[in-house]
Amino acid sequence: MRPISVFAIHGLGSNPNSAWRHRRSGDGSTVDWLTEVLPRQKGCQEIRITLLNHQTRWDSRTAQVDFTTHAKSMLSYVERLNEGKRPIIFIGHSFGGLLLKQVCCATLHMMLASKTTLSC
Amino acid sequence: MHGVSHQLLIYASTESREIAKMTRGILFLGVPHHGSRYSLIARLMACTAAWRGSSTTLLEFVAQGNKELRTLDDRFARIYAGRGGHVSLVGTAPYIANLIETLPEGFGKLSLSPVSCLKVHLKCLAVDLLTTVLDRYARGRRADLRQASNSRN
Repeated sequence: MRPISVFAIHGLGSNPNSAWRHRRSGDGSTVDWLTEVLPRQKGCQEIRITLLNHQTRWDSRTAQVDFTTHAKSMLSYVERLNEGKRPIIFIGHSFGGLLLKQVCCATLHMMLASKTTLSC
Repeated sequence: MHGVSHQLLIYASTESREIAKMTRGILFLGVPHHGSRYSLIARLMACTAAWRGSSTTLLEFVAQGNKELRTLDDRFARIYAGRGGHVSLVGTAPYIANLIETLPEGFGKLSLSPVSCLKVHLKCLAVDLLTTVLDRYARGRRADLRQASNSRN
């Protein structure tokens, strides 16, 4: 089986450095559970993890794009990054999950649209 | 003009077909399917800070009871679970799961816990964040770092 590619999309007001990081309450030591814990699991040694960064600040310097544009640009990034055509697992947290849904819908929508147009 | 858009469509279709074909799993972690109650507070805060480039466009999308959000949820479920959608186009269906945190936990500055998961069409799994397991890894990492700095000295 070909090694898997994981794409993780964080939520609003977050960033890839903090979104997937667990902080231990006692001594404040931290661990990134996607990049540090997941590759140590059985069968996951050759996994490729991509933490997608997208501008989701809402308190200042907010990105002036609408939701669909945001999703479309994310789709093009994933297309570019998935070299070697690895099987993909998407992980979306909170708003990142909604974006992911929009990406999935857009993908299928484009395929359906081209199918209809091409058969005409 | 028509030729160009046609070409674009074919291009987009081949590219996204590749992504759709290779998608084996989709995991949603604490996704607010029906909006988040925190979005109102965040929107009010964003309004007061418009002078420093704050905007409510994305926050409005996650407002509780937003129709667009419901439509997106339905569309997604139809495309992946319904006939003539993903399976008929690609051949295989990816594994899709919603993971709902049962322990209070916030990521980043703003916790966006989902309002409810009752009308979600897809598989819904309730999980406790495995704090003890992750604690062990965090402790291990700290020990590794200390060892590395000792050996350097």
